Amino acid sequence: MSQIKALAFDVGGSVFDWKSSVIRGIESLTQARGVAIDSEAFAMGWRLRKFQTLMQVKQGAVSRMNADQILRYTLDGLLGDFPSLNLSDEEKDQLMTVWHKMPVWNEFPEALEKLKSRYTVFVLTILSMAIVVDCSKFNGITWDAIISCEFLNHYKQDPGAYIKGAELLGLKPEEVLMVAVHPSDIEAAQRAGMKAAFVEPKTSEPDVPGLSFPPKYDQYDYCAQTFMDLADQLCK
Amino acid sequence: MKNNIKALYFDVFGTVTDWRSSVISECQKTTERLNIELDWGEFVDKWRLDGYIDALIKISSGLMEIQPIEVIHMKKLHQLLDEYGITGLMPEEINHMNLAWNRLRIWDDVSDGLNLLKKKFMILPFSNGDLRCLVEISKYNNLPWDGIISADFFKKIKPDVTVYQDAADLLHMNPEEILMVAAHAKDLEAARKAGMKTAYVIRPLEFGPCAVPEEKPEPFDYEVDSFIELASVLNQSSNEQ
Repeated sequence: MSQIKALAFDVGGSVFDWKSSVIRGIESLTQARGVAIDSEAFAMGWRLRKFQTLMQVKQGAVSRMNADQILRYTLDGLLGDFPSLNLSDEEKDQLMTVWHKMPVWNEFPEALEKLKSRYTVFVLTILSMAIVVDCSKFNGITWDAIISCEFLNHYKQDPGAYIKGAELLGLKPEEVLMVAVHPSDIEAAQRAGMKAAFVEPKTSEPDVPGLSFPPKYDQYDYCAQTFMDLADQLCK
Repeated sequence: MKNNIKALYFDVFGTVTDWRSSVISECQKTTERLNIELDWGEFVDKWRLDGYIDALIKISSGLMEIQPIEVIHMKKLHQLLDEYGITGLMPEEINHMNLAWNRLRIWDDVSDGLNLLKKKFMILPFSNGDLRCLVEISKYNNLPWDGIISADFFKKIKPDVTVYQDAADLLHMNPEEILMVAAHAKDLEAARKAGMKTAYVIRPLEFGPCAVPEEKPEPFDYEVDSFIELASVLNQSSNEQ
């Protein structure tokens, strides 16, 4: 096995807890106006619509958008399912900020520091650069680099996203370990030549046809219960 | 001065790093076993000015395609090794010497200054250096950036005014919320044209002890001798609001 020099991290759902952030944001709005909705269903619906729109973007059916634009675009459709909300444009803008304040899992900052002492640790994400920079600052974590698919011209899980991401850092794909809680992401990375590490997810994701399937533990280079577990395995 | 600055974008070569003395000492180390006597300051100045800066000017004026920084450096390095008659280096030594630009040391005030500035602002390098080069320099010096912006993301180079706007858009900020920090007037003039605030850092030793300081046709929003001074000036101006 060739030597791993760098770790590429998926962040949405893997590192950043999108769901609790969306739930907190929507509940602060619903409580203020005294309406009740199923906040978890709202969060799951938004996330699902994001993936669906992203697929349409990849197929060229809708024009190219970054993650913020996709999330704003899908919000209007989502609100159709929750007519009792009746949000103003200002409230919609306010709600959008939940994507820039997603918390990280408690154990993550320490694991990141440990991994950075040995490897180049970077983000490889579909999310916008602004989302990742803002959320990282919000949580007080520092990456070696942040690579957003918005400036790669390839979105994960196209092989080009992984290959170009590695290339930007002067690395061959096989020198990079892709880390995620989503089997589809790390398996796409493997097909592009990267190594794969699976970490157990801490929250459920919406079911997206083609993207949601159970992990194939025996096919990955590393499997870990937590990020600290992964750091311990990688920094022996 | 009243401001609503949220992020600081830093030029890297010369502003954050002391490239000249770093590359001189890297060259001396790599060639030590050959016992050569030469003016490495002159060698490195040519490498930087006739090699890299000249290539940037050609790229800016459309005479040359954008190329990875290592490729530009390697081409000039081979020319210089010929010019100075340096023979006997192994290919891996030449490669190591070429990547001296990814192992630049920082000026003494940078680490403390950045840690102070980071408490209040987002801090990011915004450089013509490619991502690999910027990451390696940052990792080598343990710099606490909130992110890294390379002009290469946009396939443009500074001081193209539009690339400053692109770099502001990337973080969803208005240019006036960004303070461009650099030791070079040209960089800051372009940043100002794009609407950014500007801070000039005086680095009298960037081009060595004999260099003449550059001209600044117009004053910038801030002018400081160090990143630590910048932190204290920005602190004062936000307290006055």
